[in-house]
Amino acid sequence: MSKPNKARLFSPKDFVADFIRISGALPGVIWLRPRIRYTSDKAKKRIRGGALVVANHTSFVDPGYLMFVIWYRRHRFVCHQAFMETKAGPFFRAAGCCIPIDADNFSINSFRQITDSLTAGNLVTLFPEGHVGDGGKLQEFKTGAALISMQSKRPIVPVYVKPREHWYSRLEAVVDEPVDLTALCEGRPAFSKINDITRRLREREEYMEGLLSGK
Amino acid sequence: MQMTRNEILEKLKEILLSADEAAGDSIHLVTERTGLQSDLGLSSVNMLYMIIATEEVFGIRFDEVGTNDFKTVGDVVSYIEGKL
Repeated sequence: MSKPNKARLFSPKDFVADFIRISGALPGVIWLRPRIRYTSDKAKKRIRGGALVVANHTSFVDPGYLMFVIWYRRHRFVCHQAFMETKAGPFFRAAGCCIPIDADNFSINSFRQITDSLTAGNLVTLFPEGHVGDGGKLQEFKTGAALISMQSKRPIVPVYVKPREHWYSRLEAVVDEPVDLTALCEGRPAFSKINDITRRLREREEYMEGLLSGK
Repeated sequence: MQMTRNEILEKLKEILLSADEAAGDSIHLVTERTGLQSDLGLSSVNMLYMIIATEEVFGIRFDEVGTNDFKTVGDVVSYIEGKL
């Protein structure tokens, strides 16, 4: 695992992103009252260095929720290019907290931007479902997360965020232990291996969903 | 490194074969006119995988290209040929 960035909670380089994070923290904590569970003691350990957080996508405010779940790190979110073209786009571009990708024509440069960010020791967060789920149900996962993790040789941290039923509901989330795919990076893995890892990632998400719903 | 189009095609087949052994028969029949998505059924992630593997094997670097920029195996061969 790479060394964490020297910039801690606040960095002049990421002034806008940190300002949003810090000024939004108190009202966020009061409103969301986050309740975070961990699947094991290993999962409780703070994430150091580059890591790829994969989470289910239940609403458009999921990035905000994830900032409360893993609050001690600065996130870089992988988002649709179309989002960056909305009115909010320039704001998030200035904040430098988004890595836009064109889902219809995924460019190799976007892929490199993600892997470079990970190898530089950043925390990159993506939603492998690719879009907001139907009524909070888990959708099929795209295989990109496994490929990114293998190529950057950085672990995957699965996170499950429970869809909130009411505006006053508490934010509930489960954090799983990091999955290190380094052992599989020897040589080039076959498509079947990447598909298998993706399937297992989704199973972990289902397991975490079960933990919160008491199944 | 100078390679003929046929040599590039054979190397591409090797890459595809190592990525998807189950599709061995169909990969042996690949020609330059074979569609990457339409015939081989490659997804965008599979295409990225192929680009990364191609970079490693041929020692080249793809510029700003998207997964939809290559329709057929021949498009990839032409791109590699231009880079070598």
